Amino acid sequence: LVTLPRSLFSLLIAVILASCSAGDGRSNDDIVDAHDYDAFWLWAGVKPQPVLKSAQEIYILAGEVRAGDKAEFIPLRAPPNINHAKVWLVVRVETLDWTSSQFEMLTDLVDRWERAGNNLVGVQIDFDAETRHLDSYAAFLGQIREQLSDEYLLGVTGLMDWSANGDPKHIKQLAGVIDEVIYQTYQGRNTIPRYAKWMRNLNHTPMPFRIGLVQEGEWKEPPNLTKNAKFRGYVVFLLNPRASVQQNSPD
Amino acid sequence: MRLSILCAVLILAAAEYSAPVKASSDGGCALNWKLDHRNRTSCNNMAILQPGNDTRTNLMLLMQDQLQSTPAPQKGNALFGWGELGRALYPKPIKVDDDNRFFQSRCQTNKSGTDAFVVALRKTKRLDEVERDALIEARRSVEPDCDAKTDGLDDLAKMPALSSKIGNAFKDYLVAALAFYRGSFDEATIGFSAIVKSKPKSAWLRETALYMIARSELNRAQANALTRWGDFSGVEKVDKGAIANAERGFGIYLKQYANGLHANSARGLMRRVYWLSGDNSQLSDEYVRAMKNPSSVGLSTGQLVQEIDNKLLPSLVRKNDASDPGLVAMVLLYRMREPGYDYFVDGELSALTDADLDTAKSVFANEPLLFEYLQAAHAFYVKRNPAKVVQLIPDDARQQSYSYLAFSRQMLRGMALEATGDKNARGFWEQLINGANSFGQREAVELALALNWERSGQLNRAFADGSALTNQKIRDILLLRSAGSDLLSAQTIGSEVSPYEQKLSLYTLLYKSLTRGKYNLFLNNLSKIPTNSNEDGPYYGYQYEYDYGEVDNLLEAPLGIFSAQLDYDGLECPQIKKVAQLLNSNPKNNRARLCLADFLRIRGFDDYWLDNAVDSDELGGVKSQFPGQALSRLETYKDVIADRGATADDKSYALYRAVWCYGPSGNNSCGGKEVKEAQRAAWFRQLKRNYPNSRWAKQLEYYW
Repeated sequence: LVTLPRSLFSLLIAVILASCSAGDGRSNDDIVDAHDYDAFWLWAGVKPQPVLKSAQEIYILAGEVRAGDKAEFIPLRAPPNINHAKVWLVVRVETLDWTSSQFEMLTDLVDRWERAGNNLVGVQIDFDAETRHLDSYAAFLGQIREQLSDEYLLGVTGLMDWSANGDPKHIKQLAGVIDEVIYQTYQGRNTIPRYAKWMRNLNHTPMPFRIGLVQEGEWKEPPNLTKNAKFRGYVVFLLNPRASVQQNSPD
Repeated sequence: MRLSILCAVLILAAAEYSAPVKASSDGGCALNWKLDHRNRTSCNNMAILQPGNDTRTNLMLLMQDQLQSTPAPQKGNALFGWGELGRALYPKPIKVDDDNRFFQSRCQTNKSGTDAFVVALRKTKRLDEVERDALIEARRSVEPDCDAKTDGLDDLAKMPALSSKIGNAFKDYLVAALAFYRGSFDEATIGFSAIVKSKPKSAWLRETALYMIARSELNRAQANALTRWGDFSGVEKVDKGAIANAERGFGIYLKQYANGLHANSARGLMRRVYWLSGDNSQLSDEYVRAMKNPSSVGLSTGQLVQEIDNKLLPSLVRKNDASDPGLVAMVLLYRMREPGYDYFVDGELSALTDADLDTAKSVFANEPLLFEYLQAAHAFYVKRNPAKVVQLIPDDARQQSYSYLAFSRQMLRGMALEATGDKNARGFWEQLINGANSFGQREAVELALALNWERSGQLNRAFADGSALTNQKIRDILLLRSAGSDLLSAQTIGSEVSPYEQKLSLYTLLYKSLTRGKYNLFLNNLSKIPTNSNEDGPYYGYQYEYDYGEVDNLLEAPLGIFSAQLDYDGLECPQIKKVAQLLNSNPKNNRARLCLADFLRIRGFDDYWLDNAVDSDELGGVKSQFPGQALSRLETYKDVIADRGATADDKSYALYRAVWCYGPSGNNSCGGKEVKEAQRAAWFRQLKRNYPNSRWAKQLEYYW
């Protein structure tokens, strides 16, 4: 038997341990059970669930910058008052075409959330559609970074195939301005069927990343994910229960 | 005037926070180059009324047909985001003058309120100058922010006593306004009411105080309706008495001041009253009125569409009882999406049935073509019965121009012809394109034609002189994904081909010939690379995946990466031209194969997007006419490892690189058939055992 180098041996042990912990407590059938996780998105229109009480980190949608006839910052909730968990203020963005007024509104909103007693740790930008040149996105995020006080982190949501179809140069530019990216594995209520294929591309991600899952969506952890030094865990997108339209449903 | 517009916008903005939204956290949107979009994604809107469009897009297209206020511009994109449509149809939005700082709170009107107050004071005759200045100063010192209590109440208390009646009325207004900003709504209502009763000699004061009574009651109504998460806790938490007062108050105000300073604001707030009290039928009627002339309520079409989407759609998806066919159509199209795909509604709705459509029929009495279209769309998207569409919608492809409804009908007919395999489909598109001249229409037909040519193997027609296919992105996708070597070669030359397209064609030809073993072809085309070509590569396809079709965004293909000098970092290798020559005379030349693999690795072609297939129903998703499989570095290494005649240098390097295919993540970045970890371990040991003194054995510490 060939002796393995020491470091390789310890790497193998780490992998075995990681796979143990990943299997621990997970529900059957590869369905995302929110109780197995401790970080969540709370979107507008989604009712807070009891699982949020024991959360470590909550990404709360605060508002949207809509494209429309012109960029408009639309608040989607009043400032919350959450201090049992780390709070991220999330802004969904349809356009990068901001004027100084949108930047100012963002920093004002951050102040208001802080004053309302939240344990605010960062701002997350969720960019939906419009121009997807990652270089101009990086420049845009740089502007936000500039306006934001240093005590706050800056994160974004991302597509898993950024690493495959995005120019590595631009991804690096992005990595230079943000603290984390959360890759989405779902659209609407459902996990994107091709997620397993895309996971390979995360090899090249130059910044710390998490994986965004959808509550009750399918998820099977790819074998090498926990080996990735940049991997920082999961965030679950909470949904209203499917049966809540029928008020009498036992669900 | 300023205050009224401001209030309308701000307070409706404030009303938003309980609205369900239509998009999850997406992180982006991938373009799907096809015509049939049943489920919503944010970037795949088309100028066709369809279930996959944003509900706002469908409503805007329908309103464009009705209003016809501005002609839709011609140039557009096949796939777009709803905001792009808004900007195209309404390039000059209503300017809204807001002071932005305290959005979503009643304090946001403080600045504009101050200005209006000062103007009113200046217009008031018989007011002593000293008193006026004292009031102005007092008003300016009021700086509520709705969060902290650093307002100007103390300054107000310190204000010297006023002697004039009108001066005191203004002071009373200030006291009431401050109570309002502080959230003491009872006090504010009482204060404003007293001012109205005293009939002060300032028209502004009389009017504004009356309006503020209702506004104060509205705020009182919702004061306890927020949760600690900052969202609306529901209609049941709204103060019933206060909301009734607000409704009555805005009603009285609008009766007296139908064109008043705050009339638009009051109308907007009246909609908020209906929304807060869960009175969806009143709300729906208000919107139907507003849709006939959005500016009459002080909103742009885009703002109105947004508001309807937020405030009315959530109730309409459960009970589709609006009196306007456009609204009902928007909801029916929404209901044609796959059930459960979108979580727009709280829980799941069942799939739309024929019976649901029949129930809605009466509202379309004056819009039979729209109803017929909805039936056809239901047959196509939900029941997958394209033959029914052909039956329902007659051919009308020879018009000079089309409304969006008429265009949608013809597009759906064309899609149904394609789905039923009708040979006349292409002829149909070729006729339709001549009248497709509103935003997004021409590009939609071009996409239809491109799909048809691609699927019938007649790409040459797409690129023939005078072809109707002018959209550069659609042309690019065909060249990058579907074209064979003859077409690509033809597009690299010729005065009628744009320089941009020549370069893109040459790039595709060079990459594919090099990675698919067509070395002669590669060598024959290498000399076409212009000197000083861009070597900033490789070329990424994100503009076809994510971008909308702005032609100016297209990047020049980096041909220089095939011609510029490359510094190899592994084996000693000649430049790529020589490598290709060696392979052309002997494709099994181990060293040349390893050098080609290194070229691809160093140039960044691992996992290259062009070698990943797109879905088969999308443009570029059929088997490429360019023959052969993409080269895999892993397979190259396996071959060299298995070759008994390979030199020690080549074999040790192949072992080293084969192990590195999986490093450092454990995932293969070299393509080809996957091997198990045991195989990687075996290669690692083979390298260490058989070539212990090689540079590669010494450099390799792990396997993965």
